[in-house]
Amino acid sequence: MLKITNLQKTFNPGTVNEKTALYGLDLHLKDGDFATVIGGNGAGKSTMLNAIAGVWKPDFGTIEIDGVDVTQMPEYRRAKFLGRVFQDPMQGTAPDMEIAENLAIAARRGTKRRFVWGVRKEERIRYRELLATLELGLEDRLSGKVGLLSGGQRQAVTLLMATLHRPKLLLLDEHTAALDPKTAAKVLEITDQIVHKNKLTTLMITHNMKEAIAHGNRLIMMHGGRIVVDVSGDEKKNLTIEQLLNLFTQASDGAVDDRMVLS
Amino acid sequence: MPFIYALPGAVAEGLIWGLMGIGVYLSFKILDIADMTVDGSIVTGACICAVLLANGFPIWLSVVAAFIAGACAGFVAGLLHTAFGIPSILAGILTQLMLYSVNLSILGGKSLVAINPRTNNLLVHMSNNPRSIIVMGIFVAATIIMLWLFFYTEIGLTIKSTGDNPHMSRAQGVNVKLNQVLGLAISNGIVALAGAMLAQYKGSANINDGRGAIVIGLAAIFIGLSVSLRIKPNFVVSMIGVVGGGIVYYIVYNFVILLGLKTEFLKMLSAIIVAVFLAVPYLKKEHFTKQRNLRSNKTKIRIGGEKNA
Amino acid sequence: MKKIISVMLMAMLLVISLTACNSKPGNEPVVNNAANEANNYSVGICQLMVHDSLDQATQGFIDALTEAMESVGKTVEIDFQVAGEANLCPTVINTFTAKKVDLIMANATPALLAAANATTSIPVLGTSITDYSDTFDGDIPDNVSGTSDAVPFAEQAGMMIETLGLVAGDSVGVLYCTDESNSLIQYEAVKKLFESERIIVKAYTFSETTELQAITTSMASECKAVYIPSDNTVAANDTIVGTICTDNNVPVFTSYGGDICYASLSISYYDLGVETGKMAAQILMGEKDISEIEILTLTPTVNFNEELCTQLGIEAPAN
Repeated sequence: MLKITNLQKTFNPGTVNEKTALYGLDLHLKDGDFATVIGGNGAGKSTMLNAIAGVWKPDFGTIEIDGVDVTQMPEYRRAKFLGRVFQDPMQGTAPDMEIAENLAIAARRGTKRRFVWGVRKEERIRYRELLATLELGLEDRLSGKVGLLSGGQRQAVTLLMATLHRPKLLLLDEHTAALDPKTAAKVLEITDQIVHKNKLTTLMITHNMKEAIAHGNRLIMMHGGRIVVDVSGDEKKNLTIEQLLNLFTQASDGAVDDRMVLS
Repeated sequence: MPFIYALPGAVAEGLIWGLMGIGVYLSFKILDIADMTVDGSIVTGACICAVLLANGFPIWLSVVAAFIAGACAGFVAGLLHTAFGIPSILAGILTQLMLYSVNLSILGGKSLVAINPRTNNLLVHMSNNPRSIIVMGIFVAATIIMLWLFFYTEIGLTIKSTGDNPHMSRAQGVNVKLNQVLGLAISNGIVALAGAMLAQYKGSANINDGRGAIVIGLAAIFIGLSVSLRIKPNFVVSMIGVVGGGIVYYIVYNFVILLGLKTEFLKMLSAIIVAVFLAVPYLKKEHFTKQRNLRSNKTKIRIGGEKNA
Repeated sequence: MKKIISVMLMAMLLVISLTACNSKPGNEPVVNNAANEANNYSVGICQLMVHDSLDQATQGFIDALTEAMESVGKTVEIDFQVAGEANLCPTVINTFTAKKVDLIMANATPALLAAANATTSIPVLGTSITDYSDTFDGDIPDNVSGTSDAVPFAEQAGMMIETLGLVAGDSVGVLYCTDESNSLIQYEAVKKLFESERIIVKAYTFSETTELQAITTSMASECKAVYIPSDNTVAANDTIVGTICTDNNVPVFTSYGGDICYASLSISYYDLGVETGKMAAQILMGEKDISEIEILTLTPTVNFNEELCTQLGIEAPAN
């Protein structure tokens, strides 16, 4: 489903702030893979996700989604293949618009928008049902403005928006990092449900090693713009945090992140 | 009381500038772009209308042509911003500068062109304020209804989201750049339409008609929204509020001139009016929040005390 | 809600206090008794903006009108407003019609057009307008008349050709501001006259005063002589024009007088205002109907600046 070949990106080349964020990255995700991505700060996790999303163009390498080479596609055109949830709960929804309107825009991702009514009556019924499955009480607030919702509620809506029009690839960029533990757990629970129900190919970045082990069928560890550890299946299921830390220390020559240890 | 007699004229002018305010509302509030092109495009609308009428073209054609000319101006500003990466404020200012030369050449090098009310079938005119009010009222209502319908279409929703959250819009496959250009075109088209009505109303199109236009538009928005948002914060009510703001603005202007205020101070008055209408909701929020916090703090302390007892 | 009302009241108080400490001259309340209402007239003056010649015209108007009215024991209440901008003229005129003034004086073209469009019954006198016919495209309304600041361009062109010895092929530069409605009319009139003698005429225009220096410099380097129409913007900033032209030995002829010209054929705007005031008095006192009054132009005065003439080597004619 996702094929990244030799991806390279350097920011601010030739200046004091030059940083090679991605260094010959290769990644192959099969249809239905749910991969968690973990790594220290500056490892290149978000950069990789942004590259896949098309926020900027890479220096070298190719990105293929379901066989289509998207490397040169602008962000908004690539969106039809992707569903994205951002770290910042404010980024995924339009605060001054209704929940129903946000969902309606998301539902039409990938289709050509026309001069017809933007939110139809049948749609509202469908959205009510979908929002009810989140069990957050949002189904009664369809006409309410998104800006009035809490961070966790907005992330849940963003998640729904990302998966309303079935994406080929779901990109989750530390989407629970800004939420309190209770809400984070709830959002992760919803994530699992949706991914499982729709059999979505998913890439989830997380700083939390426990989460990384508990969710998904594959664990990827990045360091220095490359993938250094890649475990899947039973090997991943039976990993302990200690083993993971060891793996990481070996792969990154001793560089360990405080945040990773403490979470 | 001369003030009563001044009201029809004030309302008529207020409606024209209210229409202009709607155009500015589209760019400033919906697209979240500070578009300075309007000082130029309002004149473009006035000039195109005046020159076409002077050359014997029918009134409806002249008015529609004015709208299209304004839309082109907005298109250029949008292009400068999206295709060439020029910051939106600068793009608007540059377009405004270009429009000065364009407008001057439309006027044939003259600084003004008169519109003859006797040989043309004008839609609005200073000599007939009641009729002008009705006609402008219809124009404004039609514009509001069309915009309301438009912003509820699939395309319209994405234009709203472009201004509200461009990041999310891109992630949902919306061509943000295209929407910005489209939005600016519509916004400036409406402003130019208001310019065409203004030229007919006062019987001339003047190269300097646009000076300070943006301030009047913003004043209409702030005055109007400060009242309408409290009634209902939806699109149609906001639009009506903006038009109401324009009317209030011109009523105050007329009132103040009749009181004897030196017209040099009218600019300062505009600034004061806008500042007052912006300050009141802010001060209200500050004042009420402080009171609420004081109250809740007292209760918190009490509870803590009991628990620890 | 209370807060809004109180703030609005404060704003109104502020406005009223501004009004109080800025009561305009010429707007003194007239002691009026009801029986004598026919003896009190009201006149509204709408001046486009603050500019030397416009100010002079207004002053002349006020002086002449007040004098004429007082000499027959009548009083006139003058409401003098400077609109400041073209798009404020309709608002000012609206207040005049609301007050039902007996006469409107419009100082400059945008004011005149606003007044003419607002009313067909109240007499409107214009001043500082160059060409009424051009302004109204030939169809001057019946209730409009006034004074024109047009000068005989043929005489001006003739003066320049004679005193400067201009021949076919010489270039004359015309400097004016694109914002001024009268300047283009004057440019085209003068251009025709020069070109009939096969003298080349080129327009040097600007819209902002910041451009004035650059455009004058290029004009002074390309032209043998310079003609400046009665353009208020140039007149207000003509020192720099004078310096550049004298440095380049280019003689300047103006239509407004001033210090930088070697010669000028101009009218006094004060006198223009006075004539307009006299017309107003005639209309108010019912001596003449406005439709009977022809547009008046003044006889201009010739002026030679001897110092500059000597400096530039120009021989001023004996008379």
